[in-house]
Amino acid sequence: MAISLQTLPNMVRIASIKTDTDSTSVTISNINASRDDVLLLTFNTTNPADSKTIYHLYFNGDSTDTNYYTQYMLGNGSTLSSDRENASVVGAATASQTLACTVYIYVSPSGIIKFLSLVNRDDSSSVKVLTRTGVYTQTVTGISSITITGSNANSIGSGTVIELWKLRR
Amino acid sequence: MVDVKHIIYDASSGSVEVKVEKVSDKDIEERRKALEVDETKSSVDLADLKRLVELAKKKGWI
Repeated sequence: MAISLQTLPNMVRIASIKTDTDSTSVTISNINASRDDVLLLTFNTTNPADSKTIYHLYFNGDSTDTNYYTQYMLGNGSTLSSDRENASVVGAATASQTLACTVYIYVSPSGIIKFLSLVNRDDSSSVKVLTRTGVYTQTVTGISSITITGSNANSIGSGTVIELWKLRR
Repeated sequence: MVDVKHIIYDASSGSVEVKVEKVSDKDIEERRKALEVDETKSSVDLADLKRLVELAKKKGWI
């Protein structure tokens, strides 16, 4: 059976950023995503801070962590850990180490934002696997902005690459 | 004081703005604590889990 290319999703790149300075937050504004849309965010960074940095993901300018829940599973050697947090976290990186993060973001037909973060964090013999699912508890009509914020000052290293794509039906 | 930078990318125009905010060391530490979470809670050691499963099999519990 022939498959029409019209039925396959097309990815449209909304943003492509390569930073040239260490920063605490990066915001992509004027996104214009609506209900039913699926976004794909890639975040590739080095943590220049001298301690572990937790990276948070916020929607539509709402950086109140208690408006979000995330559930994680972390694999570190033979140790698995998991928990649910009343905060919007997509990943973490140890001091001076790297984080490669892919986040699928869904806006449900009823206006709930959910996301799934797949993370390869830290380097060499410290490499870890982390997955996080998250939900924004406020009902929305769409996504106008996305902000990534590090827990340490200027912990999104210079040279960080962030790309945002929309999957069109 | 630390110059905290916030990069804002406008997806409609492709323009980039860098906002710089001077923040005291004390406020930096408070922000860090507010955003810190512990990713090592509820940890389970796989080796211990395997030993428990083997024991349960030996005892006929599973």
